[in-house]
Formats: sequence, C-alpha cells, structure tokens
Amino acid sequence: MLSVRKLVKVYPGPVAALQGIDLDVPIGMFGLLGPNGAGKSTFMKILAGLLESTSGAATLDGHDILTDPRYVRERLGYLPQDFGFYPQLTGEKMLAYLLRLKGVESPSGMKKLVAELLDRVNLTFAAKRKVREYSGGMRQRLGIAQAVAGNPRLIIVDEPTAGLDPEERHRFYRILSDLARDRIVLLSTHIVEDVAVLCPRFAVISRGRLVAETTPTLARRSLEGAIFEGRGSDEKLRELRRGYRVTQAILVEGENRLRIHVPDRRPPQGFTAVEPTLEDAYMTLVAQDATVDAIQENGTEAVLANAARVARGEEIPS
Amino acid sequence: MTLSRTSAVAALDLRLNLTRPLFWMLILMIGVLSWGLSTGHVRMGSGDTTVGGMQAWITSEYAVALILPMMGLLVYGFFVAVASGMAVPRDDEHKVQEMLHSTRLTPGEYIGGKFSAALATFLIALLIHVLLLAFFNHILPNSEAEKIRGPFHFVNYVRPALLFILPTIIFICGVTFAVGEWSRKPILIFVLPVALFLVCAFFLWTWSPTWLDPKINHLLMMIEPTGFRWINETWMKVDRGIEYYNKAPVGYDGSFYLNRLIFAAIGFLAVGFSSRHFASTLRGPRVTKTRKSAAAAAPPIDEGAILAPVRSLGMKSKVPGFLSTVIDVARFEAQNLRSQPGLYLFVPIILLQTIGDTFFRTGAFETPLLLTPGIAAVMSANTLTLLVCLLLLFYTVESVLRERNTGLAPIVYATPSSTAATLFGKSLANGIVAGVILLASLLGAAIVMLIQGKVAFDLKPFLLVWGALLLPTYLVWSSFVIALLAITGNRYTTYSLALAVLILTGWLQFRNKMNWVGNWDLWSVLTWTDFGSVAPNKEALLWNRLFYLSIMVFLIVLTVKIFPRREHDSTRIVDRLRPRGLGRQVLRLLPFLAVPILIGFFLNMKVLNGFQGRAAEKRAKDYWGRNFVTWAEAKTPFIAGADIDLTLEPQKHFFKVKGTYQLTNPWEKALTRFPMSTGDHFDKIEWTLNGKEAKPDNRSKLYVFTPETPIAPGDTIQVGFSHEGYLPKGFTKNGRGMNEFILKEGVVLTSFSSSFLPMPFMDPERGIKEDENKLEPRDYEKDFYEGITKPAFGGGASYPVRMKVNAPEAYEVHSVGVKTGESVENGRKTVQWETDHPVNFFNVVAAQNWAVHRGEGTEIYYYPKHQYNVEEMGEALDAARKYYSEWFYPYPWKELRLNEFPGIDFYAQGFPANITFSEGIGFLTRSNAKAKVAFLVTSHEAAHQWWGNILLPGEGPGGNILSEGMAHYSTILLMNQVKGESARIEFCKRIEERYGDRRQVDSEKALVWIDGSKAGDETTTYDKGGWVFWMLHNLMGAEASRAGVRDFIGQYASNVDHPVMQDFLRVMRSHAPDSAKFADFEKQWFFEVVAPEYKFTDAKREGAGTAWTVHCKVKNAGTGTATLDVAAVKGERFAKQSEAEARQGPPPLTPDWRESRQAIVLAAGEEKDVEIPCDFEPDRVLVDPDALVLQLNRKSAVWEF
Repeated sequence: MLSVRKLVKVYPGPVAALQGIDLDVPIGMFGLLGPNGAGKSTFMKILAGLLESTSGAATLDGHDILTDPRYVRERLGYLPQDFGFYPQLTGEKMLAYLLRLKGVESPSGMKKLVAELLDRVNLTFAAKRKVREYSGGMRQRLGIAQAVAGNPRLIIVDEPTAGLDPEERHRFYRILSDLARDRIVLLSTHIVEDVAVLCPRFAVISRGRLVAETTPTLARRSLEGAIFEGRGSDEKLRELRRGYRVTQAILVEGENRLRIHVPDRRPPQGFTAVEPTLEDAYMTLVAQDATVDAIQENGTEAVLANAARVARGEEIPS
Repeated sequence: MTLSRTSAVAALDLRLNLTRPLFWMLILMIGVLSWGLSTGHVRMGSGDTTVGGMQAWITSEYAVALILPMMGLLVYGFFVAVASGMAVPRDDEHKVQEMLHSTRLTPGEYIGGKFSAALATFLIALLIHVLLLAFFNHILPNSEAEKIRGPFHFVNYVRPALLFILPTIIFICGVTFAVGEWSRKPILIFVLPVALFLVCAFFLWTWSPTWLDPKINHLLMMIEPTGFRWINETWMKVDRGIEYYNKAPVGYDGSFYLNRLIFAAIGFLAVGFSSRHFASTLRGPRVTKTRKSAAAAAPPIDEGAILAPVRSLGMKSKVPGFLSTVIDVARFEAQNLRSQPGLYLFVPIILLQTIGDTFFRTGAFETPLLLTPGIAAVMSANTLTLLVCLLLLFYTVESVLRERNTGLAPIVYATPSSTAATLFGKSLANGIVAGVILLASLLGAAIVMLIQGKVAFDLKPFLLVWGALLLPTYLVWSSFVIALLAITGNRYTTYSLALAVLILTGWLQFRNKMNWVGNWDLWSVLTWTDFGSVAPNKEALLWNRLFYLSIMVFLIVLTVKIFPRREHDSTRIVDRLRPRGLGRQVLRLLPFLAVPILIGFFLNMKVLNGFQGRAAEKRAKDYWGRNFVTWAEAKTPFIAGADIDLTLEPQKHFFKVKGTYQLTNPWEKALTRFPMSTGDHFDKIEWTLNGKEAKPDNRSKLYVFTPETPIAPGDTIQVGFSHEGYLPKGFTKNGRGMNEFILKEGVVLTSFSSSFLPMPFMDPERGIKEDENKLEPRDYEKDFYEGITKPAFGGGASYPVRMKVNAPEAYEVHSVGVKTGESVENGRKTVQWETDHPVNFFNVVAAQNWAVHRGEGTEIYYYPKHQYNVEEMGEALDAARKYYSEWFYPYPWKELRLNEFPGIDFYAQGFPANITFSEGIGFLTRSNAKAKVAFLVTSHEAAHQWWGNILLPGEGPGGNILSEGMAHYSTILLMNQVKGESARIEFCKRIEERYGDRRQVDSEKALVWIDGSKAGDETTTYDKGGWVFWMLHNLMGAEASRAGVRDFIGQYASNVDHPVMQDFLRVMRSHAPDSAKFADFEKQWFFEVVAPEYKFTDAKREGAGTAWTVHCKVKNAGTGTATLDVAAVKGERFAKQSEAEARQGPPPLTPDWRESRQAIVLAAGEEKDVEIPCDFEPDRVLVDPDALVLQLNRKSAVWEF
C-alpha cells in the first residue's frame, strides 16, 4: 500500500503546487487525472524521490519514503513525463546501462534480457541504432522498457502514452495491467477513457488538491440523469456556459456538439439525457473544485454538499 | 535578413549574459588583477631602483601594452570561450531551437544575433577593464604613486585595449562560437583556449634563444594571437631605457597591424562559416546513400503474436553494489570519452609542448641541459598540473551535468544506484583525461631522452612525482569542482568560480604569498635530485598531500550530502539553515572537517616555526634592527686560523660543532670589541675567549665580545665556540631557499654564511625584506679603493684551516686542503682535512657513493649515473690547472677537486681546491661538438681558484668583475687553447648575445662602478667583463697581457689590501706596450659605457672569375670607437664535427672557405665606405669574423649577396 498524508509542496513564489494530499493507493492500477498544472507531476516526482516535499508523509508498505528516498528507488519503476537519453548510445546499450543502474538481474543474462525487453516494446529493429535517430514514440517505448524492468513494487508512469500510436498504447497498457496484478501502478494521463478502462480506482487532482478519489463506475453513476447532450451555435454555447457546466463542446461542421451537466435535471430546450462518461464526471469534478472555491465565498451549503458527495463518489440525492 | 530580428536575438542574449555569474566573476577577476598591478609590484624590468632614480611607470602605454595581451588570453580567454562557445548549444539544451526556427527568424539572423551578444558582452567587460585600470592607476591612493605614475593619457589604455585585447577577444569569441555551433560538444569548445594557453605561455611568449633566425622570429610573431611576442621581441628585447618607455607611444608597425587584423578576421570568418553551416544543417543532416539504405522502415508488427507477459522474464532487482556502479558508470563515461575528439586534440599539443619545453631548457650561462627522468618529471609538473586541472574542470562539469542536459536525470536519479558511486565512476573515467595527458608527456620526455641518446629512461621518478604527488592534486581538484557543482547547481557559476580559484592561485604564487598550507597545486615547489628524489621537502610534501587529501574526503562527503539528486525544497532549506538545523548539519560533517583542520593547523605551525617562517623572520629583523647601525660598517677582526670539529647526522639534518678561530686585528687602531654572528638555528651555544669561558652580550644572535685587553693592531685572539643545530630547521615556507643543507642525500656547508659556524662580522643582508627595509646600495667615493680595502667576501686575509668531520661511515666528506687522517669506528668515519696553503674561505661537502674520475692533479667526484660529461669536465679541469698556472699564477694547493652535490639549489662555487657543482651544472649539461658547454662551465668555475681565491677582490664597485669577469675571460683563453678558435668564437658570441639581451640601457654603469645592485649588473659583470678583458688582452698582446696579470696577482695574492678594477688597471697600464691606446681603451671600456652596433647600409659585389671587389658601407649605429675587420667571405668557415671528431681536436677550416679582409676604425655614428678585393666570388660580407670586438646585434652585421 502506498499511503500519502497531508502532502504539501510549495515552490518559491510562493506557488502551492500541492495543498495537502491524502491518498491511499492499494495494489493494482490507480489512475491520476487532473488538468495541466494541477500538481500531478509534482506529486509523482515526490513519490519517486526526485523532489523534496514541503511537509507531509508518504509510506510504501509502511516505510517512510520521503525521509528515505533510497527505499523507494530500490523498488521503483519510473517513467517521467519529460525525459531524454544519451543520444550517442544505441538503444540496447542505453537500456543495458539503465538496467545495470537499477540492479536488474535475469536468469537468462543481461544481453538476452535487454533483447527481450526491447521486443516487448517493439524496438528490436532499432536496437543497434543510436538513440538520436529514434522518433519520439521510439524514445517513449525505450522509456517504458526501462520503467517496467526489474521487479518494481511501485511503478509510476507519467503521461506514458504520449507519442504512441493506438496500437502501441494498447501494447503498453497490456504490459502495465499484467504488472498491476501484484504491485502498485500509478498512472497519470490526460486520456480519461484509458483510466476508465484500466483503473479500478482513480483520483482527481486540481490546483494542488485532491478533489476526488473514486471508481469510474461510481463517478459515472453519480451523474446519471444529469448529463444532457444537444447542439448549438457559439452564442448558445456562451449562454450555456453562464448557467451550466459544459463537459464537452466539439465543433462539427460549423455547429457545436454539446454535453452539459444539469444537477437539477431540468435541461434547456433541445437537450436530451445521455449516459454519463468518465470524462463528464472528470470535467464536473474539476469544475466543481473551482466552483467550490467560488461558492465558499458565497456560502451556498447545498452546492457544497453536492460537490462533496460527488467527490466521495456518492449519488446526489434528487 | 532584418536588423530587428537579429537585434532581438542579440538583446535577449546580451541581457542573459550580463546577469550571469560568469560575467561578473570575470569583472571581479579583472578588478582584482588591475588593482594588484596598480600597486606597482609588476613592472617593466628597466629603470633605476635608487631613490630619486627614474622608474618604470605603470601608466605608460608600454606598461599597459605589456600586460594586456597576456590578460587577453589568460583571463578573458576561458570566459569568452565558455560564453561564446555555448551560445548555440545552450539553446539545444533548452530545446528552443524548433520553436525559434519555426518563426521567420533566419539562420543568419540567429547566428548574427547570438554572436553579436557574445561579443558585446566582452566588449562591455573590456570597457569596464579600461576604466578600472585607469581608476586604479591614477585615482586610487598609492604610497609609491610619485615614482610609478605618469600623467594620465586615456590613449595609453584605449589603444592597447583596442589593438591587443580586442582582436584576441574577437578571435576566441568567433572561433569558439563556430566550434560550439558545429560540434555542439562543450569539451571541444575548451580546446582552443587551453591549446592557446599552452602554446603561448610555454612557447610563443617565452621561447627566443639567441640563435633564433630573425625570419623565424618574425614568423612566430605573426602567428602569435595576442600580440605579446611582437611587443616583447620588437620593443623590449633590446632595452631602450626607462625614459623612452615611460613617455614614448608604442611604435606599432605594419606587421603588427596585419597580425591583429588577421586574427580578428579569423574570428569573423569563423562566424561566417558557422552561419552557413547552421543554415545547411538546420533541417537535419544530409542523408548519404549509406544512411538512406540503413534508415529502413520498421518491420510490421506481427499481429498474431501474443506477447508473453513481462513477468515471464523472471526479472529480479537488487540494489547495485557500490563498486559495480562505479565500474558501470566509469565504463560508460570512458566510452563517451573515447568518442570525443577533444582528448585526441590535446595529446599532440601536450606532446609538442613537453618536447619543446624540455629540449630547450637551459642552465648556467644559457647552456642547454640534459633531461633526466627525475628532472623531466619535476619540470613538467607545473604545466601538467595547469593543463590537467583545466581539462578536469571542463570534463568533470560536462560529465556530471550530462544526465541533466540530456534529460536522463529523472530516470537515472530514480534508480537505486548511489550518488557517491555515480560520482566516483565519473571521476574515475575523467581520470582517463589526466592519464592520457600524463602519458603524452611521458612519451614526450622519452622521445627527448631518445634524441639526447645519453640518459637511460626510468619510470620510477615519474611514478613518484606524478603518482604520489600530482595525483592528489588532481583528486582534490576534481572533488572541489564537483562540490562547486553540487553547491551551485550551475555550469557557468562553477566554471567562473573554478577559473577564479586558478587565477588567484597563480597570482598568489607570482606574488610569493604562497606557503605549504595554501599550495594545493604544488606549483614550483618540487625539486628533484638523483641523489635522493624529492629532497629536501619530503616531510612538508607528505603533510601537504595529507592535508589536501583530507580536504578531498571532506569535499566528497559534503558533495554526496548536498548533490541535487533530489531537487531541494526551499522551505526545508530555510529550516536547515536555522541554528539548530545548521548545528546538526555541522556536527555530522565535523569528523570530516576536523581532520583537515588539524592537519592544516599542524602544517601551518611547522611553516611558521620553520627557518623561513614568521618567527624566524622576526628574529632576523631583530638581528638587523639591533645591530645594523653599529656593526654593518664597523672594523672587525679577520680570521687568521680555523680549527673545527664537526659531527654530522645527515639523516636527522643534525650537526654539532666545537672549534676555535684565531682572530687578528689588521687595522691601524686597537679593537675594543668585536661581533660574532651565529645562525638563527644554533642551539646550546657556548663560548671561550683565549681558552677561558666567555659570556658575550647576545644581541639577537650577534654576540659582542669585549676582551679585557683591546686587540692591538697585528695581535691575535682565540675565540672558542661549541653549538649544535639542525639545517634545515623545520619546513621551508614554500619549497625553496636552501643553498646549504645537511640532508641524507648530501651535505653542503660553507664559511660564506653562518650555516654551521659563527662569523666574525655582521651579516648586512640578514633581516632585509624587499618591501620593508631594503637599503639603497652604498654610494662610494671616487677614491674608495685607496688604503686597505676589505675583501668582497670571506673573512679577510687567508689563513690555515683544520677541519675534522665525523659522519656515518657511508659518507665521503671533503673539505679544503688535503686529507691528513681517516678512521672508521663503530659505523662512523672521522676524516681530517688540513690546508696545505692558506685559504680565504672553506667548505664541507659530503655524499654517499660518489664515483671518482682522476686526472692530472685533479679529481671529480660525481653521482655514478652522471658520467655523461665527466670526461669533458676532467679535460677542462686538467687544462685549467695547467694553463691558468702558466698564464696567471702557480696553483698553490696540492689537489684540485670538483664535487657534485644534490641539485636542491642550482649553483657552483669555487672553494679553494674543493669546487662544488650542483648536479644541474656541468654534469647534466647537454654538451655537444659545437658548444662544448661542459668544458666551458668547468673552465669558468676552475678559474675561480685564481679569481676569487688566490686573488680575492676587494669590496666595492668593480670588485666582483675581477672574479666573474676574469673567470669568463679565462674561459675564453682556455677554449682557444684547448678547443680551438671555433669554440672560442662560439663562446664569445654566446656571452655577447646574452649581454645584448639582458643589459639595461639606462642603468648600466661603467665597469669600474658596477656594484651588483642593478638588474643588468650580472650580465655586465660576467659577459661584458669577460669580453672587455679579452679585448684588452688582444690590444696589449698575449705576452704583455699575461705579464700584467701575473704581476697583478703577485702584488695582491697575500695582501690584506684587496684590489678592485682601478688597482688592476694601474698594474696593467704599466705593462701596456702602447700607453696611448691603452688609455683610450681604458677610458671607453672601463670608465664609460659604450656599445658598438654595426650595420651594413649597403653592399654590392662586382667582378667575375677570380677578380671580385666588394663595395660596402658600414655604419656604427651604437657607441664607442673600435678597430675591426670587415670580411668578404665564401662558404662555412669551420667544418661540422661529430662528438667523436670533436674529442680528437678542434675543427679544421672547410675546403670551401675563402675570406678577404679590411680593417677599419669606426667611431660612434660613423659610416665608412669599405672596398674589399677578393680573388673569389663572395657570398656575404660581415664584420669582425674572429669575434674580437664586443658589439650588439652581431647577427644583423651581415650582408648576404
């Protein structure tokens, strides 16, 4: 179990990147969603021992990993959001080097292990090419290979599928899912549907706060009957934004295809109820977080209570 | 291309550059150095140091122009390279290139903007530099201002800045910019400044042997990038006098302007090239056929394959061991190094530099020296340290930052490999850099030894010096650099701080402010003797190395603790810096800090309490302060006899003495009291007077005896003494300054100073400090030499000596005179030496395992492996004994010994019958068939048996010329006699050029007034003195000249009155066949300062077959009147000889040689037409082919047809 208590990170400015995160992550795949700048990468870096926290605690299987980052490094597979390799090395040499630094051993020997890992990520054909000749997707796959190598207790992957085509993405998720059977895999992504499919549980971080920790099912269920879909012009969209939470606005052939969250289930004209998606729930949660701040100033209790329910994955009473 | 986009790029970069620590560190360095220079401690070597005498101004254009070129490279060079070279690669690291070049920004605008910003940055620095110089030189208060500051002329600063530094900046800026853009490899950027530094500092700036062809010299000036060689060779080599340098503007000439233009143009051209290259590679490298075929598309994925899960690979992970991480990281870094071209570029540079430096090194009288393994190891230590530290700086920084710069940091730092192991691995790999450089230097030394063909190669000295001594320097430097990086986290700040440390270290060394505690790089402290490695500083070196290794450990611990593997939280940092947090941190580091503090304290105490430490300095000052006024000029008794029992323990540096002096009063009045000076290191001193215990008044180690009965004129008194001590006592300050010593490797003690015996006079030099109480030289009356003149050195009249020495059995001990007893008991040897003829001074020299070469009444004792020149030295010693006895005075002692001693100091001394040579003189001279330098060095020192011993010159101006000038003159005669005319001409030319190079025009006095107080007096004494006696010899004729010299020595050999030049001239005058010619010669060459300089203003040859005539115009562009031959010649005069042929006899004339001469007399400024008929076709015309007239720039007095 990965447990995080009141984790705070303040950058000089001051900028509060994390404002007291409390989270328990059991064995299995756990998703982490949030908008840009929410603090996901900061959170991941702190857990990976690459960034000091300002305050708070985090334990892995009961062991404090903030004061003893060595403990987590010995049990970690990590794929950062932004990384590079030594450009003049070949793919296999680069991977071999990293495996050695991670202390990875295999009964078949290092050379064979490297070949196998490269095969898993479909890089066999480029094993002997210099990394500087790799495409973005190839570098990502090489990163994935080193992240899953060894026998890590905790795998942290931050936006791992950037640059991967759908096929590669699925391959990668197959690897992760297999690994998640008996270890903690913390996955941060913008692709909400991936979380919906892969992660039994997920959390939403927004503006440094944990706004939700729930399951995809519960999150969707909490919005049942409250999501409506319709079409409209840009002016209609502007009007809707003033009164509702717009969870989707896609321009198709000059017209907006809109999905809105209507908590009181009384939609505007032309909108019909649809099945909520995880993306709807995510957008609502993130919006609620902003609303909670605004509403806190005005003190509307009901809305606060509903936001809290959504955050807990509970249904909103009609 | 638009100016607005270019200037936008430039403005942004300029703003960034001006806020970087790198820029401000450069300004700080410039400020500190400018202030240091304004104090006047670094000035041109010209000018009169006497009070009221004109001195070199620091504010003249020449003064500024001499300093700026060096600063341009040594200070600006590295900073410019870092800033300019990284301009483009920095954008790569920040990954902004794609965004920038997806706009309308063209490659030309980008490159132009970037370069302009880099250049502008250093133009601003240069402007600040000029302003700082002007401020410090003219406005900042300075107690010496009156002497060293001239009127303010801004052009004196601006012109040198624009002409010297600016082109250097443009050159380095442009070339490093281009290298950075082309290679994108930081290491290659640093190749240029490092290579330039090596080549300039150790070759182009300094290498100018007297035999260098003027055309080659000019070429070297043209390729030297800073302009320093030009100004030094063109304007400083021949001293034009301080008046000139202070007031005249620098005479820039066409070749200088061309040189500056060329280097500036190279810089701009490099940027132009860079712009084209950048444009052509912006959209990716061109793909060759080979690459196209290699870049095949990825094969399609096997749709049907179901991949086995990753867990089936059975992977496990464990924490990698420290050692395995070190090896893995080191292996990877080493592979990276191998693929870097930078290292391969340094290897040939260091190879060439080592060969050049060691092959052309010179010793006494500019004679070339043999390279031995020990000397090679020590000689190259300075250069190696500098180069390796610079390279380690660059390689270490780039290596440690590699993860961050490539983006791999988050992955690598998330692995369990330890920080310490990673850093160790990198350091180990970077050690390869040091290893490669050392190997290149080793190879260079081996090549030189191979070319020499005399000295066997031995690895042991290199292992000792480079391994045990230099290696800790590199280790501590590496750990310092990594610590800086860990603290600052910034590449540029690290570079600036590290470069600042190097510059400041150099400055402290230069100003002699360094001691064993601060000398981390062991700059110029290492000495080598084949008698026993790195004596005498073994203990000091050991503690110094331990000190710095302990600092290294502390730095490593600190680095591992603070290395930013995990980005620090600023709030936590504030917490940590609170007293409690800070206290905890300090406590954890304390054990590692305590060790260097303790060792440093101990070392500092040893230095402070050593014989060069502050305590000793204070005691010396007390000695001087209490005694100078009373005793410096007082009449003191002379030694009339010495009876000494000396016990030596070389292993412990210990000596014990019991002895007596017979002192006599040579003066007209009775002496009521007299002083005895003892060494500061003497302990348990006891005295007797006429056999009875005495307790003289102790005035800071000058003991004043007041006998009950004053010593009447002619009477003697016996002073007894016993004491003991250590020599050296304690540590040196910084490795140097030991010219007498008792060491395991050898013993050298003399009666010149109170090194082991008291002296019956006050030492006026003891306690003198250059900056504090240095006295002006005495101003002598014109008739100072009338009456009894005291001796220039020694105790007075000559006297007998009995020296009994007890030492360990393995030691052979020599002193003056003959051995009259020797016994061995209980592992100790007692040997007794007694003079068979009185002496003026005496010495003791001892060593283990000397080999001996015996000649005719001569012996040479030498270190067994230094047999290279012993035959030639033996030949010189035999010839000297024979011919000097014939020409000057019969040699009065039975034996003539020459003893080699450890090269801890570099000198030779001609003690009566017991000459001492340090191993670097004579024994390790690189003698050859043409130069015969071992012969000349030995001849010179042997001549001191006559000039300095048999004839002891008087104290006062002109005295020392009778010693050193006469020794050179004697050498000229002996060379002529034994080795033939060609060797004599060669020697005469050598010392004539030395005189021309080193004389100080405006402070040179007439020979009779030379007192050794001016910078140029040494060459005047030795070289001009030797030449003038040679010219006098030819003027008078050999027979009359020798008769005069014999008469002179006969009159003064055992005289209490000691002669100076006026006495010599008086005697010689009486033997001169033509008194008018003698008077004229005497006036010009002894009582005035003349320096002829002959030039051909025109020359042509006419004729055919065997009837030719040379018509030429010869001018004396110098001063003085002399008769000289003008010769039209053809071919080479003397045949070239091999070593074997040279041993058989002097070289014959070549069969092609033809000459025809005319004698002319040329006065100062006079020009004459000369017509020389020849029965051959001459190929050139020259003056004074037999080297009979001292002149300047002899090489120019030739006209080739």
